[in-house]
Amino acid sequence: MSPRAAWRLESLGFSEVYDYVDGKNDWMSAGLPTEGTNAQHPRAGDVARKDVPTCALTEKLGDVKARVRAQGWDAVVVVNTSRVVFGLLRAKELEKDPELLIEQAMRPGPSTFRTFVALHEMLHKMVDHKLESSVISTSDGRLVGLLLQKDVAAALEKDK
Amino acid sequence: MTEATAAKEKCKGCNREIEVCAFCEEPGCPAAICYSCQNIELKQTLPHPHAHGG
Repeated sequence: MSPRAAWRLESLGFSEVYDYVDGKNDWMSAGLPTEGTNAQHPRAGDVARKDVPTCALTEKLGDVKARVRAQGWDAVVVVNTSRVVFGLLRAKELEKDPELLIEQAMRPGPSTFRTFVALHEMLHKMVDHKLESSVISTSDGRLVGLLLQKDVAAALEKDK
Repeated sequence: MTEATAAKEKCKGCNREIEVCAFCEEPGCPAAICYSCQNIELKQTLPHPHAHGG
């Protein structure tokens, strides 16, 4: 549809028309602005904590745990130098042998969610699955932040 | 992974056998869902109205 819509807009006299081939979801997952009724409500990317600690595959679990706990967190996202998500450690994984490398202790390839997912849908799923946190990433796998269930509930309450 | 250990769960959306829940990745999840159904439920992907495109 979008190529034809672009051509049609040009036929109507618009001179600067682009076909965003990757689609609306890709646009939104990059955190770019949208318009319309739904744009007024906060989404997963708005509420995700951008200050979630990160670590590298080759770090030692004991070192990472100490750093993460000192910052008041019980989760850490494993990323590469481009902030692409490789893994996740929640409280359970942080309790493993401190001598392990992160690569050996992490949950590899955790499920990640896009920034534009509606908060009420995320909350519903997080409660159903008893998940305290979920990783939010762009469509090319880069970390946006960690979405905490308690933050989602608070944001929805505020948005009422 | 052997066939005996794989595909233990069934997606609550499409009833397809899955290895692990795509949302929580926890074995034995009572609300197990496959990656495809999850993406549709969370509107991370949209069903294509026409197989041939626009």
